Amino acid sequence: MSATLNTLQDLIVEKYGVDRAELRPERALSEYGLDSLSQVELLFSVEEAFNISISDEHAHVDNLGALATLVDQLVAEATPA
Amino acid sequence: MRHAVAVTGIGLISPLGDDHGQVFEWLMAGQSGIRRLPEALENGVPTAAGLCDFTPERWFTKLQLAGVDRVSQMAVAAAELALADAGLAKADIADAGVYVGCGMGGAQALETAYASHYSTRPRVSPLSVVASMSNAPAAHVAMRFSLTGRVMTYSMACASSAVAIGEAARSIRHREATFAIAGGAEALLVPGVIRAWQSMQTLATPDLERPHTACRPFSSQRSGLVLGEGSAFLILEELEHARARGATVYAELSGYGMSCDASHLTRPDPAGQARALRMALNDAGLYPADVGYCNAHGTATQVGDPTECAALKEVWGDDLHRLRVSSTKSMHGHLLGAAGALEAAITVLALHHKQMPPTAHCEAPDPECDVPLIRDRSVATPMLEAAISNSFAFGGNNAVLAFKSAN
Repeated sequence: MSATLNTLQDLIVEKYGVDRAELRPERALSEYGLDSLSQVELLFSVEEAFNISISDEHAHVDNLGALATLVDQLVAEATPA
Repeated sequence: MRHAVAVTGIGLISPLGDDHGQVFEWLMAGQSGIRRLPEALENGVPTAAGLCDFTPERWFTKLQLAGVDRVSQMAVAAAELALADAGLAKADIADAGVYVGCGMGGAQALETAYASHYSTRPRVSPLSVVASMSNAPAAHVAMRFSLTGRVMTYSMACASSAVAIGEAARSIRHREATFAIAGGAEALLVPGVIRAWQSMQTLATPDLERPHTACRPFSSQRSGLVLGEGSAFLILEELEHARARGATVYAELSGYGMSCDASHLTRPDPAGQARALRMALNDAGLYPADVGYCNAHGTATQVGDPTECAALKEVWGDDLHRLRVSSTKSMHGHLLGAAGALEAAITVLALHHKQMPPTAHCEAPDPECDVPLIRDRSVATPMLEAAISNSFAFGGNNAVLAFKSAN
């Protein structure tokens, strides 16, 4: 499991009290009880945790796996080569 | 023939705690729940307030808390306590209406949103709108109990929750429902809102050695009002239904009066208050001489207290000596949109326990407040048959609730 995914799981456990065992990369975020507005709010915490900015066009991720991929990509773009 | 309305449940989240038996004991002992605000909230000006030691975890999971402001958290908690106190479960009250008074809505959510908006990197939570809207507390109570009928919000500043309770009682009288969950919630102790109140020059200046005495209604030493936060709910129920199920009936809600001064936003008018008082007594079928206790609005402002006393003197006339008056705001502060509900609950408890709470910190009454005050010491009144609770708001709205003993 990637470090990014691990950090995202920590965030969700901390913020929403979801059981860690339920947090699987391919499972839809909505299945944890996060509605669309709560998902946007989650992205705020993700931006803060990774010091990145997620634009509106990227803001629609369905699951944790896709979110981890997006975060890795944005972190790489933000890091000077 | 209209239905009689019983109060069968009381739920409080208050600066004096959330157990209504204990809260009433504190009040009878003249114990204040007011303290000095933490430094982060008082904007450099010593300020006292009625803060609640409230944490939401007892009532919400972390997931449920997303987008739920403190004001709605308190509302749900107090409503849950009221329902349990009435010996009822969610399934018993399917037809209940929800009637909630709230002055401001989700102040914390709004403050956080504005702080971010004016920061160098604005990013406002998508849940700000639904967290801060003034009908959020009522909506959350409705969702908690799956109540699909009338879910109402009343926003008339300091009269909000007295109006909510009065309107709820009307709905039961008119056979629209067997039950109502009625009360109010307010939680606006955030720096921006506190600064607005400080700017109004209407808040009490606390004695730094004794900040718990900051609110001194009817005293010649009063210096202004003390803000508070919290929530209070009553379960209102058709009296016959309550009797048939063997419920504890704390009191009967027998009258409701409502008027508007329509003269000035903040300067109260004895004539307008007297109209609401007479209307409530008339609605309850009571003469002034029948009423033994008045839980006054008594905010401890210079203008407000003598005005209220003038209204009481006008309505009670020669029977004034039969009335006893106290303002329990001296101990819990002014809960604004939740004040009417908290003070209605205290009035009901006074009838139930046959004891009247005092006005604390009123060693030297203002000669202009020459009504029979209960000061510093509670009074036992085994014969107490009726009591009223006054709520007089900015905007000129005056609401009076009248209760009768259930015994």
